[in-house]
Amino acid sequence: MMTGTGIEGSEIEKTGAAGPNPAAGPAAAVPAAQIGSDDDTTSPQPREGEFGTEFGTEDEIGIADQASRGATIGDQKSGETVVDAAPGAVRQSDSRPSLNGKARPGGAMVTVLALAAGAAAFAYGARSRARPAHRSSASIDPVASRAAPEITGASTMIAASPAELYRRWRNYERFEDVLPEVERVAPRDDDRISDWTLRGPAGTRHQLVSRIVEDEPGKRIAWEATGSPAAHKGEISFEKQPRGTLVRLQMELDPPLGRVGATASRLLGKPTGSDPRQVARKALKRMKQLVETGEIARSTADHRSVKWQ
Amino acid sequence: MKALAWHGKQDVRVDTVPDPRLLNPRDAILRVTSTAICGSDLHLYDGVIPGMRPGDILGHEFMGVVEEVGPGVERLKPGDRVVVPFVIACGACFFCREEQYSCCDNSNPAETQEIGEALYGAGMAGIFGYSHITGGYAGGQAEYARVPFADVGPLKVPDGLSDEQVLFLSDILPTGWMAAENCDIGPRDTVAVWGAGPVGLFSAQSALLMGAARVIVIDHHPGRLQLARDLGALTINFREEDVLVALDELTGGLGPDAGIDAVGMESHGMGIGNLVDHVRTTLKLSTERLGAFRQMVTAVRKGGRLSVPGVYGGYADSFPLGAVMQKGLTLRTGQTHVQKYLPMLLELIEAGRIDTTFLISHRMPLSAAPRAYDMFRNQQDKVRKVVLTP
Repeated sequence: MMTGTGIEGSEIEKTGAAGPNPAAGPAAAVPAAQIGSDDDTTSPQPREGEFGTEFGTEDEIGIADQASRGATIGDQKSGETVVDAAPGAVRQSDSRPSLNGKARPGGAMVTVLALAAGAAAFAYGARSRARPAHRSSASIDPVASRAAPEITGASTMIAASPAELYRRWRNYERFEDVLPEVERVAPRDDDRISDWTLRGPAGTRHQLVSRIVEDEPGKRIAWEATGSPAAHKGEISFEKQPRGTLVRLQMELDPPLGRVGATASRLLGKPTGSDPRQVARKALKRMKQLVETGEIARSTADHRSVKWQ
Repeated sequence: MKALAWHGKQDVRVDTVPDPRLLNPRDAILRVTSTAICGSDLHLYDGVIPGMRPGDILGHEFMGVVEEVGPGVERLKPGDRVVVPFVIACGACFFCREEQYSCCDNSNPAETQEIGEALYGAGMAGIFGYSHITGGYAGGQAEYARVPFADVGPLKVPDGLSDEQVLFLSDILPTGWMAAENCDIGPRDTVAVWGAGPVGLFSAQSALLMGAARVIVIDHHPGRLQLARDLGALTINFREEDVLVALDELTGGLGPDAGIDAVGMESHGMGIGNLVDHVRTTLKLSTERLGAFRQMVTAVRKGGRLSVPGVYGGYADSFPLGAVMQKGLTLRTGQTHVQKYLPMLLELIEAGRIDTTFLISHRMPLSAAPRAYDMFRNQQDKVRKVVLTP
């Protein structure tokens, strides 16, 4: 169902290449060019604040930058979802539950993922992810005056049953470990509704309320999160496969301040957040580690606080 | 505790650092009794591997006595004497269940898996003391080390065996063994090994144990070639002879049935650092950097097997894909699935069929580690393997 239109545009954005992709369909030519030039403004900067922190030197940041760009390729290879929402299309969407046209509720764990990603999107994403508002009739949230939302996500294979994974997600199990971006989740009496505290850039905190709007035990949870600036819709699904359960996480993020905000954020300088897609991918990896091994791999050793001789 | 920390290119120092502690339920803390410097530590020493931070503790070949275990560790208890695989494996993921431990999905923290995803299309497994691409785990050239998934990797060592008899189970012995296994050796086979470093020598030893009719080792350090002959291999000094001609003569023009590239990027400095430059600038890598590998492809007979235990990190120009295809060669490689081979190799050591102590040329205290690195790097013919004692 996906033609070149949306995907090509998003490739251009992600790889930082300027100018329209020749492979893009006519409908994409304009947005692609736009995105390309947008990206030019910011492309010399490291894309992930996290990588920048991870590796101290300028040179290494350069490497990380390289890496994060390259990650696009990895994503495609591993079949993770990277979607340009402009035409309301989802890559590999034939077998994938689509966000379009449905009300979304909030799942537990998942919500965490999405919320944090949303927060990240606030800081980072607005920069270059604003989309022209042309969209298919299948799109959600057709608020014409705003930039189109972005759908993003990740997937992973976990050696556990869909039922177990659903249960862990639905019960908000160890979400703070899975998503360090989330400080706290507090389910209300009706545990379909939960209050979230997110760690934003520069020590800020953000509150969100997540509401599960669709709940299919063992299969799928969809939610809707309200609150500024990380309001979003999302869903997670669990599909039995020969080598485990395919877990797919999708989120639809509204650029918080629309295209004006995106431009402003670029003008204000270096983005401080991280790519929501990366947030989602890492969250799923941590969840996989937790489920398969009982713990989340960490190497942060205390030898960092060293007294050097 | 005292630990050998990396501070920059050819700058390693013995620092005083906080003792490691249990971070996860399946961790153990080890008091290190012996640790070795690996050829691949020299990549870090030379600064060709990105993702190092000043203060990183080096060392992925080590063994010791269990001091403390987390609540999730069932197989080990304080006082157990163990040797530790360099690759960290969870034992539970798809790859570990296939015994492809060095492909473990879960041992590298999510943050640091991103780099492998970008470079190679998949996150790497965790490795001790080997940059943040493989997790940034503190290494074992230290008085103490934290060992994750302690009930999967560490192998209990019988009292009757000395540290020096089993230390190389941590890396180079299983690496040499897997390299030979990847050659699929039959009884009439000739196996040629490029590089007479520790892995090359152990590959030759393993190939002979697996029943190869002849093993030919190629290098230019006379001292190392002598060790190969002591093991029962033939040798070719590439500074004195044309390797292709010599192999032709030895095999009647057929070529060896299998080749092992135990050189990797080290000899000519094809590091990931170069790779990143390569990615960035699409500049070429100098062609001789693939020298040993290309020569191996040319030499091996039609339908032969290529085994690559040597470490490569990036891209290579002039990769002889045409010869690989036209000659119908099989290529097998990978980081070593150490855990898979340990019990069997320990039995061979106990039975006296494998001796690894011949390799050790220097024994030094941990405090002399900076000097040991310098010697190991600059006097390769004499300094074959250094064992450090904390």
